[in-house]
Amino acid sequence: MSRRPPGSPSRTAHGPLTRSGFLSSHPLALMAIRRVAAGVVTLLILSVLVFAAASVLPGDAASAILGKQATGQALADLRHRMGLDQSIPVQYWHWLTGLLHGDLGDSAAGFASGGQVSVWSQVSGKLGDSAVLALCAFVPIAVVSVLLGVYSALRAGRWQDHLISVTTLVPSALPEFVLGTVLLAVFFGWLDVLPPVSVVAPGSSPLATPSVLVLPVLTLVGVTAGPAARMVRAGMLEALGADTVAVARLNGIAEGRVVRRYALRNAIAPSIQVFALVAQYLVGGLLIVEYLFGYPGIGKELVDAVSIHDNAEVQSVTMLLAAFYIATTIVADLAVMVAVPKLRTGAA
Amino acid sequence: MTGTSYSRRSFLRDASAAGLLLGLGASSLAGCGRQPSMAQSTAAPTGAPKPGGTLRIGMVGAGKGESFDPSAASSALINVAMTCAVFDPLITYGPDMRLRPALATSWTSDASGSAWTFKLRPGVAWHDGKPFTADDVVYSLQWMETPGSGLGPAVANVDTAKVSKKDPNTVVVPLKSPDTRFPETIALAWIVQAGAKDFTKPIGTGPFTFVSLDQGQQSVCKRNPVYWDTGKPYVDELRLLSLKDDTARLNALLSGQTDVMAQLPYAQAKSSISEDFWLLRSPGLTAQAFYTAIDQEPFTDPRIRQALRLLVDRQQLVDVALNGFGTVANDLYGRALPYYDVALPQRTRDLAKAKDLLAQAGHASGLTLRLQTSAAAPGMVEAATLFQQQAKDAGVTVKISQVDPDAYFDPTRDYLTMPFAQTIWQGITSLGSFYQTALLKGAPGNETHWTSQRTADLIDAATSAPDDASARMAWDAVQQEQYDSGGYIWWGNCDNLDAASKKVGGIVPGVSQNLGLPTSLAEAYFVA
Repeated sequence: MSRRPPGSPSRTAHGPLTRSGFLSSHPLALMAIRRVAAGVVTLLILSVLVFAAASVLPGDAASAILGKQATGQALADLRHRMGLDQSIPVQYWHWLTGLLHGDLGDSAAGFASGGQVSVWSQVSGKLGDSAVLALCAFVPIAVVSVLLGVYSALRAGRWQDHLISVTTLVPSALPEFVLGTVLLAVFFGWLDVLPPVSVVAPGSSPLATPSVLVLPVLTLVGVTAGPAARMVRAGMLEALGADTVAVARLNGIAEGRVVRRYALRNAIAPSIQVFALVAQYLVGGLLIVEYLFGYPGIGKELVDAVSIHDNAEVQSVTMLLAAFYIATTIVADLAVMVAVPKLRTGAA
Repeated sequence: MTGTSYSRRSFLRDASAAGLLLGLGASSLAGCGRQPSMAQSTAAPTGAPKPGGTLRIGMVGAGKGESFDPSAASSALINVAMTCAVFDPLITYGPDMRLRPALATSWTSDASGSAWTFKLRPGVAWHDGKPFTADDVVYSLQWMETPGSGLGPAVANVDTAKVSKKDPNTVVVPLKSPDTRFPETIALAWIVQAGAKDFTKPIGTGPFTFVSLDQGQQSVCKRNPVYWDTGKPYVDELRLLSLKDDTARLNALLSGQTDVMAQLPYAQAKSSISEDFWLLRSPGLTAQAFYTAIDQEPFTDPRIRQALRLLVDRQQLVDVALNGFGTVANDLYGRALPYYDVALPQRTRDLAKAKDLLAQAGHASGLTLRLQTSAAAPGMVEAATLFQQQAKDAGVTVKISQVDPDAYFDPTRDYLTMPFAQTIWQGITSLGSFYQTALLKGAPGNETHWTSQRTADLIDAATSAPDDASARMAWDAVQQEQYDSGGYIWWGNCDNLDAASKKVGGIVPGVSQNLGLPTSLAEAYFVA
């Protein structure tokens, strides 16, 4: 991801908002506005692509609900009730205008029961459950990757470094469903200490039964911590190799202080990017881990929605996930700007 | 009715090797820590019923298709269980396939069998407190006629416009043509409250009242304290967990996260069930077949269809594809049903005769066929592969192609368009409903493209026969024709197989459905 120092005066001098002088003096705000605008455009384009892709899949929600009865009048009636008898552009337009009014549409699940159930009522609780899982995975991933990354950078090339690389890269080389199955076999099949399926009672939070979170979190940490630690290590090595560190050392400053004050600070910016990547990975990684452990989150919901061709729900959930993805990128870039004075002030 | 209930539209299925790895997971579970006993027990635990507790059943999930709508077209077992929990029919089936009174306490017909009078159970209340009356029954019978309703076949022969209530507890049901076995047809036709169309918050008269449904996760129901079957149900709460993945469903049982597991895969029944659990095993109504569309070359020639029936080694198919949890079929559906023709000799493999028939049909030098299979039900792909080998012995080359399980039983996609494919039928409780769905022109399950008017007339004669003997005669003729020249090659009757913790009693494995449904939910209990 390339980052050009934004907000340089030459670029904004002719902008309509410069009269106030606010944006030119606040490059951070300017960049935030630009990024959000670009994000919205990206989301719009993506929504067209997703809708088009979902529409060309064979079969539709009505035939999936009716099964063998998907013939004649029954099929026509259900398609009409679901709005599937309209042309694809009209369906898209309905979905888009609904979205702008805060209406994500009706879930196919409701039609399967002869009633109407909003997509939002289907996904809202699951978004919360997924957020809990993602956060529970994100915190240990961040802590572990920073500790291991910094430590192995300080011990670069020595046995500690090699040991850390090997032990973290083995689990991360496995796909989620393989690592998850191995963990399942160990912690449930062999040791019998953790539940194999993440059953959460309706209406209660997964935090009420924390044991259901352990295996999914372990899987996500195992897959992610290794590469994240290596990226932190690379950033830290680069920082340690900088002239400032060499000068500090030459000045006889104690090594601990050199690391804390000169190296770690400069390693923060790349680490923020690493955390953003981890957060973005979690959006996709959750999908598989939730499915594997039957965890009641948004990933499993999306899989269920895809399998019944529920375009409204697939579309809405995809947009939510994509919006999160884009928001993470923007927040990370802004955080980097805050952390690196050179970018913040627009100085060359 | 269909194999779609088995359809494992699993995300991981397509991720290559995932299935294999999950399978490894399961076998490793059995290998370490938990000792499977060599002989699994099918004996129900003994012990007095202890009222109370939460019964958790792991079911094969149907994702977004999960619904409490009793007319839902999807026949997924989880939907059947949800309906059995909340609703009652007029007449139900016990595990022995005998009729049992439910909302109707008695039923009688006029002399010709063309009008039936149902006496309704007095004092029954809907879950919202309203009294159950004849009006609800009149409405329900008309509601079942809605296009696409899974209950349509139950009232196909009912003159619904003329259904009338004689008094608040008596309903008269006139038929379009006489049917002496109408009680069997109307059994399991679920009664809903007058005016009900939306089943997102269902109101029934059944043993449990609806609390919540989270599709793809679980549903929760509470004990109906004023259920008409006094004392039942025994448990306070019923949770049906939607666990599509076989290994996850088994793991949930082994770890005590569920008390009962529905649809235990045959392969796991042999290895993974320890002595803390018991098997619920019963012969079932589920059967698997290969079928040919008789209007497609080369299957237009009945000799070819007969040759295919003769080259199949049914016992081997049952032993391998069903892991022995079933019995050989005899090219006819419905071994456990009334009027099934048990007199026809069991067809066995006869390669010489098969080759002879092929030669007569002009294929002495060999024949190449394309079989479309799908992982839509357990054992299907295995059966196809085995059939390929068996056919080779008779000089028939079978090329197998796999079809997306979602499309296999979807008539807007591949279903009913395949010349040579496989099928699975289940939950059919009378020969009438099978043959009317499978052999009539334009019927929703006419896999073999059977259009004979003579057959249609015979089926009509059989369903409207004035007495047992003439019904049997007509059914024998229908079955003889299918046995000799039909498009089906029925090879196996599958067992219903589930597993339960030894703490759970009261469930009697039955023929009609897995888990001893429809009656088991009210009768299940934790042993004292």
